[in-house]
Amino acid sequence: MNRINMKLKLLIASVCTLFVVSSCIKDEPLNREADIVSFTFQNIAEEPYIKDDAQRITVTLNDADITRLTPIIKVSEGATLSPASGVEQDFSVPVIYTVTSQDGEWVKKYTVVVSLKDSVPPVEMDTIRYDFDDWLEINDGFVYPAINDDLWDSANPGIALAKIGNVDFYPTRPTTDSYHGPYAALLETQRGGTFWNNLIPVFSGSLFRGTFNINISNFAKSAKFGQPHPKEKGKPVEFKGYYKYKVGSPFYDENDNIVDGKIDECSIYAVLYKVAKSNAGKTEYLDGTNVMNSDKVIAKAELSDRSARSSYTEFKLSFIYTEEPDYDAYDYKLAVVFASSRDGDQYRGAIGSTLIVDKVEVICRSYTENE
Amino acid sequence: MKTIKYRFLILIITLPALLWAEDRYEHKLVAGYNLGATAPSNIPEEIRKIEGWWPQFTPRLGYNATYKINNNWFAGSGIMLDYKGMGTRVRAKYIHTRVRLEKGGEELEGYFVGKNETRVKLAYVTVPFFVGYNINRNWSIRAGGYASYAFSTSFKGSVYDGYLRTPTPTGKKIEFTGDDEATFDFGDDIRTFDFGFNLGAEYRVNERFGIFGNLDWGIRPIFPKKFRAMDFNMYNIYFSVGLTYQLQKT
Repeated sequence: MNRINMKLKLLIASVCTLFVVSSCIKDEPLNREADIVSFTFQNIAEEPYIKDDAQRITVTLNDADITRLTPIIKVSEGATLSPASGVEQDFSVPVIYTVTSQDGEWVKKYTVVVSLKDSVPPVEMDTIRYDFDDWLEINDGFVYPAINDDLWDSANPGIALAKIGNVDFYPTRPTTDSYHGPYAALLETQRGGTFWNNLIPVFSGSLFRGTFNINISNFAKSAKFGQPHPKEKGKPVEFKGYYKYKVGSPFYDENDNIVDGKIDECSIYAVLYKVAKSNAGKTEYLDGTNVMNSDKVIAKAELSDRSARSSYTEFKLSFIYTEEPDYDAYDYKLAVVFASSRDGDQYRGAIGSTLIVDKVEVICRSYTENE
Repeated sequence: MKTIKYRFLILIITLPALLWAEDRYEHKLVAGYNLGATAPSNIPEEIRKIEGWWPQFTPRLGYNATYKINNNWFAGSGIMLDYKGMGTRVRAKYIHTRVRLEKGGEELEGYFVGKNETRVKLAYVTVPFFVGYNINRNWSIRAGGYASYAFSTSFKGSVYDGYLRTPTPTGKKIEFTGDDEATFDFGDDIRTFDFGFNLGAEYRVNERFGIFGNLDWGIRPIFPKKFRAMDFNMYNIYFSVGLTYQLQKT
């Protein structure tokens, strides 16, 4: 009996040991990320905007000595930064910051560009101009075109990811068929597919003032519309520009069915909406699911005749206000959206619908002392 | 030379007689339950915490035949319906993954940080082969190998509460927060054949029934080399317990 017991115990023991040995959790691997997570300047109110995929941080200051600014920078856990945070730098030329991951294997460089606001006296009409002449190629693992203005984005990062960078022509790209200047923005609706269990029959070309953050479970929420619009930028009154629109075919609905006879429409609109004051409002956005009907919207300027236009046509839209801006209670964000298929964020559109926009302006009126 | 040849010839002639001696065979039915994991043999550093593990409905049902070599030793084989599976929830850090988002499309490469839940359900037909030793009248132990054919495979799961950096840890960050999750199903990528070692023991309760415990340790990664959703290999490591029922009296 003893012999059996021992042999059995040995058997059970060796089996258990096998499991225990292979169950050891190893030491925590060192961090591999090298992002700048936050960037502010000491004693400066304006907050720089970090555009991660362009690896660029930009800010326009009203009145400061940009040759002597001290940034306060937070990076990914365990990463090292050079030049270091808290060290004064001369930002009259772009300064490059290098972040190295904790494990030393991954490096990311950010270019910090500081501009001074033109010191001219404030004018009655302040205009935000977009000529779409300046484009760059983003390379963050995937290569795709983008407007060289960090406040704008498109759905190109999403299409780049879905097609793993295997794209000949992106839905949003520059074209030399411009109204003014060397380039205009071309938005073209393209055929989609099934990506990560999401059926997306069409990719609408889109260009908007805001930021694109890929949302895996709900692609429509990836496009976040709007950028901060502080009081000194004035009250938006008119949204104008030039556009051409060609309707494509066939028209697909969200279930990948062709809808005969349905004619695609473009989208051209601008929206001013309220968010919570200061830090709480920074992460508030409207997206494709709610930008038109959210109760945060206080003003809209929308193109109502969205049919085809074979030659450049001017659009001039007034902002219609449902309430007046109150900068004591809220902060505000201004969204400007162009899309080649109006229902693109519901995955509906016609293949080949093409919207070209150029020389866009948002005219704002400075608030007087009483407002 | 000739003598060797003759001895060999005699062996060949007498072997069938030896083998077909009916009283040397035992036929048993086997019914048991598989408990274990389809897992890497060594937990890689990318797995930070195993937050949960639970079994699935994974029975083992079949037939074993053993041939008595002499009073102490025997050899055997069989054929069984063999279900292996489990569910698990882990927290991961920088799992290097390469997956195809669309059929026939390119591979997306990235590093995943976050939580992962996987359910594995594999249905095999298993042929074990082993050599055994009778310790005494009641106990016997055995060791050998097995070959399995998978007729149904399912390897489904989701990733959530985390993010993917693509294609490198400094690349684009795709977040999965709150209710967001990405699901995957790698069932079709699992290899059709599995091989491994087995080690077991059986306790004879009476002339008909016995209790067995058996460890099957797969030596073949369940995914082929071209499958790159994770950098580490996974093996079938299952312990089965159950009853044996002797069909003939000894």
